[in-house]
Amino acid sequence: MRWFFSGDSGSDGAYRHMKKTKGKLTLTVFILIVLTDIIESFAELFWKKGTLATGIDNVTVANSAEFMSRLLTGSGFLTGLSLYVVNFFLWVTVLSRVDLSVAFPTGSTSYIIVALLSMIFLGEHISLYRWSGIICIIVGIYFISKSANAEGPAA
Amino acid sequence: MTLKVFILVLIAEACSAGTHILFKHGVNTLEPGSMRSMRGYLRFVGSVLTNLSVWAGLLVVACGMAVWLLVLAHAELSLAFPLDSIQYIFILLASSLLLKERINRDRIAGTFFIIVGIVLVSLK
Repeated sequence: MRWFFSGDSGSDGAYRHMKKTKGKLTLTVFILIVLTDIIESFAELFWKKGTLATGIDNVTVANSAEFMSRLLTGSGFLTGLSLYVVNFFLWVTVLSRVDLSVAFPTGSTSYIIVALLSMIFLGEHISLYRWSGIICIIVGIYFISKSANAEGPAA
Repeated sequence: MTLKVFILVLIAEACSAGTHILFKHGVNTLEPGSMRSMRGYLRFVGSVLTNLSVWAGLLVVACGMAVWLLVLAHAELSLAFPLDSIQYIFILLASSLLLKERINRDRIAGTFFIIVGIVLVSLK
């Protein structure tokens, strides 16, 4: 992975190490970004479950109060919310280390993970379109990481 | 997807992009967070939670989530996919114009490949 990510380990003190790697897409930062995207998918899933559990599929002005009270007390919503709180702290940690224009596109790794997981666990077929999309995303992340690691500490 | 849902999705996407920009703007003034020591990380968490921009971002994300819940209640999410790729262009422009990040050719090329990749992956 060394050719892809900039150096991630070192015997220096943690602070000097951080100065040295600030702005760079290290393997640690990369893993944190992927993790936030996986957690976000789960949080969205729980919220979707939460809205379905209200039993109201067409929210109008008249039933919106009932919808919100059922939703906010449901377990799906609360589980999703706690995942979002965890994600917030992971994400600001990422943002304190790299540019937004690096961190955000790198999150597209989740599209690859979702595709591969649905192939392995759900036996879903991955079409030629999807394989070429996966390759495009990998090429894109390669360029993003190159741009982050080439120019030294970012502003 | 009705026009109403389309507009709701657009608002949710705009809130999401605005949140990222506010978070990044706030965090830019802090020392980078390190998870190597518990005390160091708690100090980072403390400075995050007392940052005005971060709170503004949280307010915007709360609005966005409320809108998103309404979208989810209307179902038919597969059509919201292409709108997700607009977000990448929006973030790239805002990073350059508002956050003054140095955008070089590699970063533009990378973002372009990722957008094409996402569109291809979402095709069946």
